[in-house]
Amino acid sequence: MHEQTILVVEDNEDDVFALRWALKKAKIRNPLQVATDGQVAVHYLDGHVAYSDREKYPLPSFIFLDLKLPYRNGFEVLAWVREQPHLNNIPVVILSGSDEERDHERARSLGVAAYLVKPAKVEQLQSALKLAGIDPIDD
Amino acid sequence: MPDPKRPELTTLRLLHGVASELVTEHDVEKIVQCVTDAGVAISGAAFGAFFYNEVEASGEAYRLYTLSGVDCEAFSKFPMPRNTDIFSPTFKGERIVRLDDVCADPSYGRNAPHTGMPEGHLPVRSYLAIPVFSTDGSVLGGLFFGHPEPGKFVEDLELIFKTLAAQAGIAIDNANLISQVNRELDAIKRAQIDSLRLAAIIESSDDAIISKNLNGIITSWNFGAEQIFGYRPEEVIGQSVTLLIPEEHIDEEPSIIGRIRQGQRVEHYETVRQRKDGSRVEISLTVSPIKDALGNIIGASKIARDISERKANEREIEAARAELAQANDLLERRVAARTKELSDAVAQIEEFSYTVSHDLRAPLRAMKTYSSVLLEEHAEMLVDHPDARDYLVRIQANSSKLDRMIADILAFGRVARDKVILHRVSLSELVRDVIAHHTPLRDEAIDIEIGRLEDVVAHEPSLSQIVSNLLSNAVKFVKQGEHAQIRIWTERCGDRVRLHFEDRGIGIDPAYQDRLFNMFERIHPDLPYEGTGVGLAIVRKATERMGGKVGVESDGITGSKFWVELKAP
Repeated sequence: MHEQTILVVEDNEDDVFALRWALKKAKIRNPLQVATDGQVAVHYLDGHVAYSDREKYPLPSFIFLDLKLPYRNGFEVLAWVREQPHLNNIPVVILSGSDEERDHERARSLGVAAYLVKPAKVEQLQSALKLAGIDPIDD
Repeated sequence: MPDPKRPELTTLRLLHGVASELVTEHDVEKIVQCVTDAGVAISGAAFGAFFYNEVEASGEAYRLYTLSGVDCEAFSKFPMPRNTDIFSPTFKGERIVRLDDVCADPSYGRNAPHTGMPEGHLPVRSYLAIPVFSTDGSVLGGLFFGHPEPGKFVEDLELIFKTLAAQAGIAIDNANLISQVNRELDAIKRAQIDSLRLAAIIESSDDAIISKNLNGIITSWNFGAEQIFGYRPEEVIGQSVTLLIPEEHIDEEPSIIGRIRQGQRVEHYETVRQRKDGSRVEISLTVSPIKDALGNIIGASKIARDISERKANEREIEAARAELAQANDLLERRVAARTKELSDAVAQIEEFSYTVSHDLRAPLRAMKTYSSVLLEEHAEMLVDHPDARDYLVRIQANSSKLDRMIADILAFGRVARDKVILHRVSLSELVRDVIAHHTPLRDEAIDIEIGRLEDVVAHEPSLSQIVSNLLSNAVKFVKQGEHAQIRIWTERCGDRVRLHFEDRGIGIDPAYQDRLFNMFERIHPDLPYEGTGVGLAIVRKATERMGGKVGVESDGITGSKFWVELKAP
């Protein structure tokens, strides 16, 4: 069985780096796929031409979703995901620089599993990933 | 004076005296007295009386009398003579009644309840009664004479008394006529006076008072009319009233005359007339029908008031009102435009804040991340380069500081623009909650004494911001080597509640206290007291948005006392 894949929808490579580092510290060793904008995320999840190879681009078990993204923002991606029955059971966790109440509220209304403010702490990441049954693995 | 030798001469003299007096006398009272006196003298009666009919204004007839030969007292106790069998021939004007002995007459004593003369009546035996006629044949009254002895009045007296009665009748008629003429003259004089007074009133009126007949011909013209329209009376009397009506209003006259013909009034009709010089004058017109003595409508009286000034004022007011409305409209449009500008600006600021919170903080996070990676993952490389390690620590500290500043600015923005809904808040619960959720406040070394806390009317998130900021400050600004000592309590001030935060910290120099609540205002040097200079600005903004006040008291040495005043529930 393939390892559960984590999809990171994030346009800022520094934030991707920070997340990778934090996940490493959290002892999460699952493969990471990165979509650098909302449109790419939708294409990836939808198995669009460029991402139709599920060997190379497996359907993720967990999604980290930024809110401010090029083309389609996080809310739009989230709304789209909610409309896809085969994606509906994938936990989506918002990972955003915004701690604005209105963003928290909107995300809640779209049914996110959790809302983490950047930089996310190791424990926060671990407990979020548990939702998909992804646990830390000791060396 | 009777002359016993020539009685007929005496009689003639007496009759002549009466005749000459009656010609000049116009007082009925005096006339009948004169006649009665003469009658007594001529007839040799013991007493005489004249009873005459007088008709009151109310139409009720009654009788007056004059007496001769006796005092009035002698008759005053008795009722007036009535149309008894004895008196009726006289009052009906049938004939002269002459009786030698009244008591022997068959008609005497048939006057129930009386059976003869009332007790105490003058003793009458000889009786003579003569009717007095007016020229129109009606009976004016009667002359009555009596004597206590029978057979005193001879037959010849009847003719003499007929003459005397005729003279009396004519004199009374004349007197009545004269008094009637006098009354009418008086009435005419009074009417003249009234009419003069009315004329004076009309003449002195500032309003134009004009009368016209039903053909619209002016029949009178007062001074007010002259003043308003500029015509002298002689120029307009006899002219048609249309002289005063401008062409464009000429159709008003037939309808006014039409209403007058129906007996209706035209009241306060506002219209326009023209003066002699052709200029227009605005008037308020009241037209009433004039009736003759029989009630026929024969013309109209017009009262015209010059309302040009009032109308001009009204127009001015109307113009001013219109101008005001226009100005108002303009103002409203400006306010609307400004409001839109402001809300656009607020929206832009919100967008800016959002951008700041997302984009500005991202590079900081990256700086923190990379410096942390270096410090943690490459620690062994830095062992030999302590300076490099120190620089990394400084980069990290500064990026953290900038991040906190941005966070505070964002918090300020939220406090400033978030919708503030006020309701009753338990301060006691809120303060304990804030302490429980702020790690630095839970330090065991910190001594927070919570006194009595009353409920307030507030916006809970804003009030939490205020409490956590003030408590953080109190914990932060302590003297070197000391731990924070804080006391919190409320005090009721009328319909307000004042929340006090008292600390024993470093205090605030009174010279700087007025700047304390400004944005980015830091009155302490950076170290060892770190801060962004936004906390107290947030406190003030949040308090003001809840309709409250904030202040500080400190001598700059022994600590500070901050207070926040909010509405009591």
